[in-house]
Amino acid sequence: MAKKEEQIFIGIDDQVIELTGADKEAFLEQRAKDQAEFEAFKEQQEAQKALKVSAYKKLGLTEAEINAIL
Amino acid sequence: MAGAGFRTFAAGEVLTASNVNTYLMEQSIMNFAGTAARSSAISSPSEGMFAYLQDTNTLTFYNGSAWVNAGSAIAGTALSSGTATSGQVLTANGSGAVTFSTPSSGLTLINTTSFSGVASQSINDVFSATYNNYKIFTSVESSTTGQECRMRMRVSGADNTNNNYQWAGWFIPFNGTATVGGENTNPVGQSWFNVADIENNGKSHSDITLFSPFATEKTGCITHQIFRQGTTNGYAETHCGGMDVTTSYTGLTIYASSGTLTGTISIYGVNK
Repeated sequence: MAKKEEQIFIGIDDQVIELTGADKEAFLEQRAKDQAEFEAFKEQQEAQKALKVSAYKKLGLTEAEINAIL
Repeated sequence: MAGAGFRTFAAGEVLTASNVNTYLMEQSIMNFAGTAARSSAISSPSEGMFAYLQDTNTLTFYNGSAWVNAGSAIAGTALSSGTATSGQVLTANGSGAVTFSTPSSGLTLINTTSFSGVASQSINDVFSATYNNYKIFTSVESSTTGQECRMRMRVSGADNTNNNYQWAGWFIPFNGTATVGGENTNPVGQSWFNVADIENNGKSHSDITLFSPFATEKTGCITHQIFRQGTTNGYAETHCGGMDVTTSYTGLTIYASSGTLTGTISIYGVNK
């Protein structure tokens, strides 16, 4: 059975409009781009955190001590 | 006795001249051509007497020492000329008169919009030269887990989706550790402001301040948000940032990172 296609409704002032066709494609494309940016950003933050953890461990801090300052 | 107050007369009771003068005459609204006729007729007014003046179409009362207008707003120029505009309020001038005027302090509500099950909610034409800064309150719930409510600046019916938003923030989870976390610690090049972190079983409230969104300068944005899921889990967050371009914006869009949003948004102008 084919997956039900997501309906996209947007509000503009006091109107609610269902996006279709090119408008819907553009919206989904933008949302996918946003999400990709967000995921990349999260990965960057995780990498920064991992670097900090590594540095703290080299300084001899325990897991509990590292968690307390992160 | 002037202005005798209220009395219930018994059936068959004979009204005296004093009854008529003090219960009826002095406590009814008298009708005069103007102040001269009123003064001529009532040389010694009593406190609480009312008199209507035909020449100025005003209702007056004697306050014990002078005749003053009752309901000055009725004779106010703004009311009588119908010049009050949207958003104006009645303001007393300190001399007994009131007129419509634009508030000179405090917040003025510009727009309140409720929305349900939408992927985004745009609000057009709310920023103008009338105000420099704006307060925005949002209360939102989401349809899916682990999503964000984001905000973009908007002008001419289109959102700014470029990577020229800059913000960073910090949060404290409601998990008993009192650990402060950094958020977006590399704040350059985002394409939205974070308004709220939300789940599908909790409501998030945000208090947003926008600085100079309409002016052709870099818009500033501060958000305070509280997200509470159930009774124990939640986050307190604050984000500070702004735009890296000097575009003049007239509106905004809030949208869900996935799924849909349900809630309300209210936008207030901060009077200069």
